[in-house]
Amino acid sequence: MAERHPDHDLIQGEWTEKTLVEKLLEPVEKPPPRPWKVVLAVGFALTLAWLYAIFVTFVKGLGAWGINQPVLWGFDIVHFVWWIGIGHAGTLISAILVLMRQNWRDSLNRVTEAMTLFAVLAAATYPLIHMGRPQHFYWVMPYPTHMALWPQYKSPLSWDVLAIMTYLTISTLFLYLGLIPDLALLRERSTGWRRKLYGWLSLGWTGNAVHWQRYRAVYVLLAGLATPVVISVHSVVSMDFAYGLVPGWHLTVFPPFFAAGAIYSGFAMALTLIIPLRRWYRLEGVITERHLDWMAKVTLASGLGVAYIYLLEIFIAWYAGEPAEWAQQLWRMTGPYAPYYWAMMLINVVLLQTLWFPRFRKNLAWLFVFSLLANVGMWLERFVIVVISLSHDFLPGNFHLYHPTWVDWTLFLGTIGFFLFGLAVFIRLFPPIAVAEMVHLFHKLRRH
Amino acid sequence: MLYGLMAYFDAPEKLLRALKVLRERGYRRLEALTPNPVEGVEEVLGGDGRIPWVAFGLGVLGVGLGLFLQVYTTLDYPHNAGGKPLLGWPAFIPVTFELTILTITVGIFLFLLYINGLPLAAHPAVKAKEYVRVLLDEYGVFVYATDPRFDLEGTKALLRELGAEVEEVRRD
Amino acid sequence: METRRGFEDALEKELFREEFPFGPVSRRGFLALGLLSLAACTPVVRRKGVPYVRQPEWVVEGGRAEFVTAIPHAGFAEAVRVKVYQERPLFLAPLGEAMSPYPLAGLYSFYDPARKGKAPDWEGFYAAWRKALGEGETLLVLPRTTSPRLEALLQRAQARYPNLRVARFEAWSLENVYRGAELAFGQRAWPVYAPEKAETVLLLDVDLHEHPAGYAWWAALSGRRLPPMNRIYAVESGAGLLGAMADHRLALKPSALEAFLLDLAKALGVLPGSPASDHGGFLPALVEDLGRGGLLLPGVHLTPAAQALAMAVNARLGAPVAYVPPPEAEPATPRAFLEAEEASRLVWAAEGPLPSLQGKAFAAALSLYPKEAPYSLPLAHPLEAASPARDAWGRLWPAQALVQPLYGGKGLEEVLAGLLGEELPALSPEEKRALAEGRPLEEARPLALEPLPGLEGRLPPLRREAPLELTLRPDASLFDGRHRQNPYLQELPRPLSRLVWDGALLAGEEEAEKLGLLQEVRARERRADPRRPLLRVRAGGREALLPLWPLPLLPEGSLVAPLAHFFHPEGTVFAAEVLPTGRDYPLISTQYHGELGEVEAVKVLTEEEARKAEPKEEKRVSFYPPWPQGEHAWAMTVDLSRCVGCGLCVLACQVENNIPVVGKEEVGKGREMHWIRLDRYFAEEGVFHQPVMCQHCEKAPCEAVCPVAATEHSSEGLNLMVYNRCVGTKYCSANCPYKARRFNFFPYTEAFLGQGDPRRAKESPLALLMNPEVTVRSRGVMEKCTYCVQRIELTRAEAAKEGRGIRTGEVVTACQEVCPGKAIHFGDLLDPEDPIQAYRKEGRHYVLLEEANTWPRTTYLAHLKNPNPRLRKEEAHG
Repeated sequence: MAERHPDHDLIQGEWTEKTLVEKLLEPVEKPPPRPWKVVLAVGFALTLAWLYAIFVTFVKGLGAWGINQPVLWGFDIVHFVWWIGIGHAGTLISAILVLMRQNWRDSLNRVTEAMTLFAVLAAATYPLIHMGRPQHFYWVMPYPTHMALWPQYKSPLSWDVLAIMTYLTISTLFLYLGLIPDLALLRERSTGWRRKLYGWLSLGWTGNAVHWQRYRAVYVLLAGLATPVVISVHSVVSMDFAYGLVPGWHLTVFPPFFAAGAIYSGFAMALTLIIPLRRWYRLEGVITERHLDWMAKVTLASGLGVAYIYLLEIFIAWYAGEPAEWAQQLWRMTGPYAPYYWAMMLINVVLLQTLWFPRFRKNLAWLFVFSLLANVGMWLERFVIVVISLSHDFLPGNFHLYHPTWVDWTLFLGTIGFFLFGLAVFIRLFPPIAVAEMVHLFHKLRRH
Repeated sequence: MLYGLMAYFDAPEKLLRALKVLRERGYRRLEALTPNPVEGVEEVLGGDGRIPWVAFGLGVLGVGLGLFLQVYTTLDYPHNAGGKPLLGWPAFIPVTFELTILTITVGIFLFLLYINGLPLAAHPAVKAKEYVRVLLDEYGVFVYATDPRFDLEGTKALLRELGAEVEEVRRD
Repeated sequence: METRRGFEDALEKELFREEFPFGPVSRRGFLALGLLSLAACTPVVRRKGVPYVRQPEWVVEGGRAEFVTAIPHAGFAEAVRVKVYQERPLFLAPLGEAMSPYPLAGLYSFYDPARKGKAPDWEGFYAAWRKALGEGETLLVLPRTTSPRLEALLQRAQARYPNLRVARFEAWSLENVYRGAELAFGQRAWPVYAPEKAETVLLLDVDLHEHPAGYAWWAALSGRRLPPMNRIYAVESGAGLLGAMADHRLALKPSALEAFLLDLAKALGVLPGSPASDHGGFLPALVEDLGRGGLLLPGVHLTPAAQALAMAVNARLGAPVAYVPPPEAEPATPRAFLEAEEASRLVWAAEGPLPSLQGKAFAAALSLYPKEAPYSLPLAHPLEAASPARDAWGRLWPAQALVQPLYGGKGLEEVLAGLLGEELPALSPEEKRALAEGRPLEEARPLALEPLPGLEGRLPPLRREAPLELTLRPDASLFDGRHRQNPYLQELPRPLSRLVWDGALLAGEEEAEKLGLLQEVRARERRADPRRPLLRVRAGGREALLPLWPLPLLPEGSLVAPLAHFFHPEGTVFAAEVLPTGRDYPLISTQYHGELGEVEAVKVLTEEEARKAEPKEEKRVSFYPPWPQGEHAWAMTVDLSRCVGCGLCVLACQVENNIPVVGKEEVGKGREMHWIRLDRYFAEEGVFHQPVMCQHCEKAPCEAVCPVAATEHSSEGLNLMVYNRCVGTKYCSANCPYKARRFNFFPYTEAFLGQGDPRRAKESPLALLMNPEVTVRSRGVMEKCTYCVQRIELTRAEAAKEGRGIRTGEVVTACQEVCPGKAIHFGDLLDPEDPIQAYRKEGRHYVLLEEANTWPRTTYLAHLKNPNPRLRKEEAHG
């Protein structure tokens, strides 16, 4: 008791276990605040619009999108990569920071893991609907057919299929595993259909101390496995591009570039979600400014990696002496898409530098605004990589610009809606902060 | 019908001491119920060293599966894709890796459920009126009435002596 | 057994009743009817009629045949080989050296159900016509015809009906040529040039499609675009494909061009006096070069005086020109349009613009497609009703109809015979023999002409100068508008501008700048914004609204408008006035970036450089062992020096490979489906054309990235596309450095066949246009050039039947077959006899995007230029 735990300020305020649990279960047990209702309604409306846009795509064909001959991948792949990237923060926080024994992860992991789940689900729809013949999507899976045909495993898209499936599975299991003790608690505290739901989902967890030991072992093991997965998924996604010949894609630096970008965008999205969540549910005691500061620091670190590779790309394009590569770089900087490129540079290189300064990191308003900007910046980055590269490859005869249609935009807004709707439902049903882990942390911090 | 006794402790240290004492007194059919993992429980109740080895085994299986999938499918319908060799192994790394992780993840999760005996439809300790406390902030020991050493009054007294609040758990 | 028999009988009965809704047909009648008339029947028939349960006698399944016939375009015959499959004409190839795109694209019109109007009432029409002839003077407007049989019929008709007056209309007239010959030689004549024999050629404002022999000229000229090379000069008021190939090009407005011709005549001593200008050294260099075997090729729209000058110069140079009698009995002129508008009784049978048929005592329109007219009667397609005709060399070709008229049409001769109550004679034995042997019925009879002295005294005035001169020239695709209903031609990118589906007012950049529109146009081009300023063009008292398309090659003071969009009955060149309207019109081009930039896609060498160039070993880097090689190693070379950029390969590929037309909107989005993309680049040395199709890379980047193995490599080196396996991830195309793949964003083919409605594709007669040996692709799959794999396999099967291997050069791809410049060669790398070996060993042989390390099988031969050293020096100083 005499010396205070170095992380004692991760939980601020006067709490007992009981009051802390009450507080953490508030989003599930108390009537929801008004902003939740707004988010749910907006999310639901956009989800319906999304389904309509998918319907239109299936009925009319991919021609309903803006993609064309050189720019065969447009918003679909831009958003696929964007969403997959956003997912990374959750896995990173829950897995890598577990291994690093970072206490500050405990208040953040649940909501970011949920964010991962919905982001990956949103992302996974794009490869399905971007197929010319989506009814045959299962042809990318290995299954015995009467034609004795199998997928072609030298294609990065085949790798993608398995990487995303693995990623989705491991993040779902990880989220679920972490939820089990909380579900048992909720089961005991609730009645009616909720009790049934939690009862089924908690799988009859009793809190047996021996079970806890095994549970912990598996949890750490999964964290250990999720760590390479989180790095590998975006690396595999990056290989979709790096494997290609298109100027602007053909770079060996892509895997770390994409991994850094994913973590950057993921943390930005986590900040975007957590700052209002903390305000709406009055969670300042458990998601403290220190938490946000840490997140800002990780954002800065990964962002610097991204910024470094932006500059490196320019250097390599010049140094390689390949005319098409250099022409592509000039096209990005001076072509009709130059505003997109320079906006990306402004956000991800220039504005990012503000996070060096505690004054900016502690300023919640700026942090929130910057997190939004960083999401936009990373969207622009994917736009630069996918669309701008394809619009200007080797032979000037085929260059063509890309103009997204309303279907493209609706699909994008729709996935945002689905993401928000999913998260809103999630935090109404399941505690957005891991109760068991927070109580555990509380013990650690207060009992020393 | 009596299921057993539920003892509630307010600190993990007390729980550990109680478990030790109970074990020393020869109690075997008992369960510790805690809101979060308690360090030192394995010393009293015994640990489980199987998980890493099972994970390793699953990993080996996953590598094998991944390689088999790609080598078999390539040889089953050989074709020239981009002039690359049929068994161009560097291209097989990502899928092998992902399948390895996938196999371990799913396998170990199922293994965890299996060794913990989950899913479990009902458990006598959960019938305790105050059971929710052990999920919240207290540490419980459930002593089964079927334990050979079990003696309702004697055991109750012992648990109280160890600093617990004791509840009899009966079928409704 | 019994029940099965009964079922089959019933089915057969059902099928055959459906096929012949007009009752039972005898075997003889069946044959006479021809399988093709199925297409004319109701949709239900088509759906049920295709597969035979029982093979009818004499109908050979897989029946493939080839017939020779002559198809006229604007009156001039083009001898072609028609490839027929089960009585369906599916492809046309030139019999001689070259043909224009029109007969080939005409296959669409042949099947086009839009030709079917109201059921034609021929008897009613004849009765009305005869009645009109009885009442008063009745005008019959014919297009240009070169058929002696038709002239004979006309004479008989005029003898019987004195009131029958005949006028001949053609918007793009050859009258000036005949009048020029009259001035120069005292006799109307038609010049027949032999450009292959000339060392130096001067093109005077003429392009491939503007002269009946234009495509053949390129066949002749292209043979000399390899060392030892000819030298081509061009003086142009517009921007043509032939002129773009010139080694030296001078852009002058129409009046200045004729003045230049006058200067040239003076410099060569044809006329007394001395040139007014040396045109920046161009004239003396040209005169010097012309002295070594020169030839002038003048455009047909130059004034008679200019024609006479050109003929006199050619005579002075001893140029390879022969003169034959004019192929038309009466020259067809645009003026006939005015006559038609004034006539009170009119039968309009000409093509191109249609005069007003309102308020006439009797008016009938005879045309391929139904028209708004009191009497609209269908003319037959040349494959349905043939008539002998002369070609651009004055040779008379026999022709044969291959199919009964699908939509009840008649040929012009048949119409006249009908008026007279006569029957047309069947093919004579001589005609049959000529057709079987693939030769003309009658060779040309050259005239022995001597230039009359004293031309300077007889010379009428040349073209008058105006600040802004507008030339109305035929559109390369739509000609004078007669092909407007042909989507193949509509979507064939126009030369140089690469515009599709529209005509535009072409103007030089200075002219656009003067209008203050250049900046805006270029800015929109950069944003891929298709809107272009709409201009009001006034010329000769008429006006038209035309969108502006600035083209770098045009001279100041010269505008070019397509005849298809602006017709004037008084001629083709006018002083013009241009007014902005403030409105915009979307113009779609298939190519927005015309500059080559840093990437060396097209290599250019001069003749000396080409002679000195050493064959270069292709750089090939790989860690991997080679794959086993099949019996053949297919490869293609494209000689850019012989490619004029006419787009016939694009069209032939489209017809052969069932490639749909996608429409203006889709092309605007960059989704055209042509497997061959004809890239056009403006460079210092001139304009280059480069056909880019699938390069069949040995290390194909597309194959490696397909997750479902829908594209893979054959042992013979073909990059195969398995449509059935494709799920449409589009990754292959994204990874193709040549972007040679095409994606079916919508059900394009179904929409093409159903003429807009994909659900009606199966019942459309256009389905018969589809080559049965090529899969028709549907929505969501990728496609691309296959090296005409169906032709390879067909040849292989034929060879196997005869128990031999494939012979050298036996496989001919569709693009190769029609290329007028013989720029495309397809061959086998394992065949030591194949000329492809020699092509690949040439010093100017190169691989497109060698740095991508894709090892393409399609390779290119550098574009050659043969500049005059004297002029080059001066250009360098300038």
